[in-house]
Amino acid sequence: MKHIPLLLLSCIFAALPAWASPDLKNPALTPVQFGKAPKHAELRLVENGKLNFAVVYDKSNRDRAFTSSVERGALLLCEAVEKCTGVKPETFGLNEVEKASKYPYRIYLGFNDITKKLGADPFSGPKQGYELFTCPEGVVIAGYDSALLDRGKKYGRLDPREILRGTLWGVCDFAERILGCRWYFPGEYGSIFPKTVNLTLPPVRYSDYPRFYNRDGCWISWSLRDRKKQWETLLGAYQKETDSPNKLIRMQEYWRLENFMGPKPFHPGHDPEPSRIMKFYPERKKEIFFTNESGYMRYNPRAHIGNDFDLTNLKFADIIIDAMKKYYASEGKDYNIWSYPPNTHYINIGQCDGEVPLADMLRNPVVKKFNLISQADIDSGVALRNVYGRFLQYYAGRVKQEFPGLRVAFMPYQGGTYAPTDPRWKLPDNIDLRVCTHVFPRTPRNPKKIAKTMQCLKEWYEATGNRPIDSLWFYHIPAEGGSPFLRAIAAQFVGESVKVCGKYLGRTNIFFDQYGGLNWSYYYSEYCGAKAFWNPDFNADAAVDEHWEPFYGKEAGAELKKFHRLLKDSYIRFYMMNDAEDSINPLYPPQVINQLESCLQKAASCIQPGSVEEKRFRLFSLPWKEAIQAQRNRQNYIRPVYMVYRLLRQDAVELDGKGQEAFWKKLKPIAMQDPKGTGAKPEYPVSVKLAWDDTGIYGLLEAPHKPLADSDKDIWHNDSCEVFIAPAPSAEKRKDFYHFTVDAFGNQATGYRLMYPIATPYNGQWKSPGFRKAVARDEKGWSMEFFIPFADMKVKAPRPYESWGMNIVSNKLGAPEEYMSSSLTLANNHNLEMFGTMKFLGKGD
Amino acid sequence: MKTALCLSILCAAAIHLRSAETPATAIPTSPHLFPHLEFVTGYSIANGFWNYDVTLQRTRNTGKQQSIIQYGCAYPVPKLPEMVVNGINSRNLFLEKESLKKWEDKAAGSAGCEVILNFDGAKILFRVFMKKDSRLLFVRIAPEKSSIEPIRTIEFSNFACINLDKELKKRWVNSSYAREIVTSSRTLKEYPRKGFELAPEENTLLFRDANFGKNPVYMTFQSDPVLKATVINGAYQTLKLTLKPDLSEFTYAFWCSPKKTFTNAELEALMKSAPAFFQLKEEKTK
Repeated sequence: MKHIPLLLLSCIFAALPAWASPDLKNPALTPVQFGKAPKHAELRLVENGKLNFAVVYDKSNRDRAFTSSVERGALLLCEAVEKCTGVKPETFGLNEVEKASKYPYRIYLGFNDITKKLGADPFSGPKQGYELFTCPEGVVIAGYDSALLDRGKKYGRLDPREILRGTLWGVCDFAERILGCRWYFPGEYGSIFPKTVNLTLPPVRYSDYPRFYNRDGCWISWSLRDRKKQWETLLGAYQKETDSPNKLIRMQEYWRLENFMGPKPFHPGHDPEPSRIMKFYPERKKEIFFTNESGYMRYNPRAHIGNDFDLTNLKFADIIIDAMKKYYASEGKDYNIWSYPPNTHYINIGQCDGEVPLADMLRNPVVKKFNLISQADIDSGVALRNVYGRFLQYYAGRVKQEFPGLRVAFMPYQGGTYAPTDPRWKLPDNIDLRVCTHVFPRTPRNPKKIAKTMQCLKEWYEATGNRPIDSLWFYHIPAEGGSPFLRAIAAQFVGESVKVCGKYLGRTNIFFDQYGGLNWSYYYSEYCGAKAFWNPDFNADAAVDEHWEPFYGKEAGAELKKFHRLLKDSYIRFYMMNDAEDSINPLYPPQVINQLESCLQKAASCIQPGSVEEKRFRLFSLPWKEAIQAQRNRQNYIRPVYMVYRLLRQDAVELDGKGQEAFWKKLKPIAMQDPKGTGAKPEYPVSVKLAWDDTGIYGLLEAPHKPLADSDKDIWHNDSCEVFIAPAPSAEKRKDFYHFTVDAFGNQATGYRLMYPIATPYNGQWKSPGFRKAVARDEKGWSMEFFIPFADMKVKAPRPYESWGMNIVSNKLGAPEEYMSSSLTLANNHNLEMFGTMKFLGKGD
Repeated sequence: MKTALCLSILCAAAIHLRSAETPATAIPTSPHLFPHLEFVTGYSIANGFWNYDVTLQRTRNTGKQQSIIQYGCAYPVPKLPEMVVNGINSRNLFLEKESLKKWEDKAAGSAGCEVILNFDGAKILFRVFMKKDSRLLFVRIAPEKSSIEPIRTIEFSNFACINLDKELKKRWVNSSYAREIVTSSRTLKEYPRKGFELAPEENTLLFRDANFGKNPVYMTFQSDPVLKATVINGAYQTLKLTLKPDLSEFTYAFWCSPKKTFTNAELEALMKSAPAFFQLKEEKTK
């Protein structure tokens, strides 16, 4: 009898809903700084599905800098709450607080009189930061919103306003930490909104701020612009500028990223732009572009690539200063010679995206006169460091004189990546750097692989007066030629890469070059990369592991977790920590490939067709079938052999581009394939055939599709055919190759590269005086005949049945584009080791 | 008694004659395609007494090593003869799987396979076959009428590889063996690098090892088309012939026993008991 009340009580309690409390120190979230928690009762924000709070913020302030933080914060919060609870919270302005008091609690957004009284003081903390704390009235999220500090200030065309949005970032954190929301990729399927019936918040106080001032979100919008069609095929309609389920918040905001070149207008790059400077200074071409001893000027009017500024000539610096004066005097309306125009804070400068060959530099009279390149410079692998140093010293010195207060935002690049060592070229103190590093985020854990880069950073740190480098240019694994197995993981090492740089790296910016565009199939890693810009201590492993089950379900999630673990472990083992692995497309052991495939197949079998999980899985699994097949194709790769017909006395060749000689008709074309190894056959096949005699090699290309042959474009922007010949009998003896390119317009280019024992830069100046070609073209296609003399390659004619290395590349650049080659070069045309073979047949074969 | 003896002799003769008249046959085979090969094809050639399996294969182009053609048999004669014509080695030629074709001469009871080798315009028919009344595998070469270049030089070689030591380290070391090359007039036991030049009458050769006493090989060849003949003793007991460039035909043959281990003594006894089975019998075939 006495047990009955006990039983009844148990039943009552069992019927009561459970009180859900968030895990405030979840390791999968951005670490924050906890302060002393206030003392008051816990807040039952949601109770049995009912919201016990309203959102209050200053609705009267219509300054866009303010609304872009506080109002957008309110939007994000309301979206998150509605998605989690099914109820949209009410919002009130500061003058409607009484109406809001019908709710037990308020969530106050932004710094205002109310939150100030409650104890908010965000402007005492770092810029862009926020405070979040509870109080008996509810929750305060108040951030460093610059709009409240620069009220009434006027900004000019060249004086961009820095918009700092601390409150918005605080709301992002609330949604993640308190509500449990997650945003992994754009659109309705890319997020998690945990179903919330009850939510209790214990007293808490914490704050945070972004460790990098600029955090570029440009890759997100660029990715969706280019891949809209692919995206919609997978995931349904996507709307530009409105990535969120309620189509109001942008993906980059969920990831706490800012606009390109914001908040600080800092983006050193390849500036000035050659075509723009030539518009204003055409008569000074010789002083702007480098000319070698033979009179070859590195100037290409048709594209950026192919230009190199003459950094030995200080008059070039004077020209830029002249342009700057006119530019600033006209408030930026005139003499804009830059891709990223200067402003009142920064003037950008950096060499073109190319490199003057060392041999040309060594013969330059200024270099010789001032002894600008020493053997030590050459041995360091960055021979032009003092050439750049001299130029930079002069240029930055003039900027300091003529434009006091202006910072020179400089990007050391290629041959000038390292700091000058010659004490003559001591640098002034108005230089802010962005140094390009290929090892980050790729291999931060391998001290050997990062040693040179760390030395470079140290030298720049010292050269600029022991000041940290403002920004690093990180390079993702390239989409073209890089391995999907690496590309899927690399972004997870952004945080570690930042930390390993230590005191040498400042906190302005990491520019994370996606090197082919952000790929949403690797969202789990890109998410970690973006979070690491906010805080490099972000725990990528915890964050990725947390999401599998809620995102894909228990069984599929478990398999994908295994898949990811194997992928990441393999990245570390076979690439990052493997000192012998230089390639960005390593071959994985077959067992690893088989296991990865097995995990994917098991995951697929556990997923319900038509479900949200299936849509997510489609995006996740998109690259893998092809990538796995490419690995298998590589494991089974047999270097192709092409039999080169030996011309007989009666076989006359009339090099007219038409290929109507009888012998061409008997020959089989060279088999072409996807150079990345997917096994895909060309959709726009081209036929390339070869023949030979004692004097050289003849070729016929036939491309039966309308060619892109634009006279205004250079050879690399028209349809073209490239022939690579490595004249040595076996791969072991091959040390170099000769390169012949002809485009559909009839332009030609030749080049040479020595690859072994040490790879030298490609020499695009190498000439083949005996090379002949003829192009025929109409609306339906184009054809080309060519002749390559053995003498130009400085080799004797081969003996019959001798074999040389060969690779043929077909570039179809008219839409749709197609890139094919005869060898599986992994999209690196210079991959000599993977070249196929041409076997010179005998007479009568 | 006498009658019984005569009958036995008659029967033996009849059996012998019946056996001797078994024509040779050539059947296509499907040899195992090892990973290092691009293709392999072959024939099993047999005549009731004996059989040989021959193959034609092309190795894969690995990048480090270019693809070569191999003409295979089986240990102790693992390869068919190699030729160098006008400076071009037969292993570097261009051949496809379909290049090797069946050949037979039903009237003569001979069968085998053949391939036309094109040495940069100088074409040579390379035929491998058995006859009905022999235990030898014959190799006959002859210039092809469709040649567009003359033969200026022609080298022909083959080897026996008798390696019997079970210890891997010793298998290829001469000290484990007492290799000999027996000609019609002498027994060559030493290992000079240059080898021994043979006299014209020394056109039958026995390759054997006196230590292990097993797996002997017999070779014979036509002397007339030969300008110079050399044998080299060693792990690869090699016969090298320089042939006359104006030859109309050249025949070479060998005997080995890949499937059943013969002792040196057993081969000697066989050759004594049935010398006809080891003769070249130089006659032209189509």
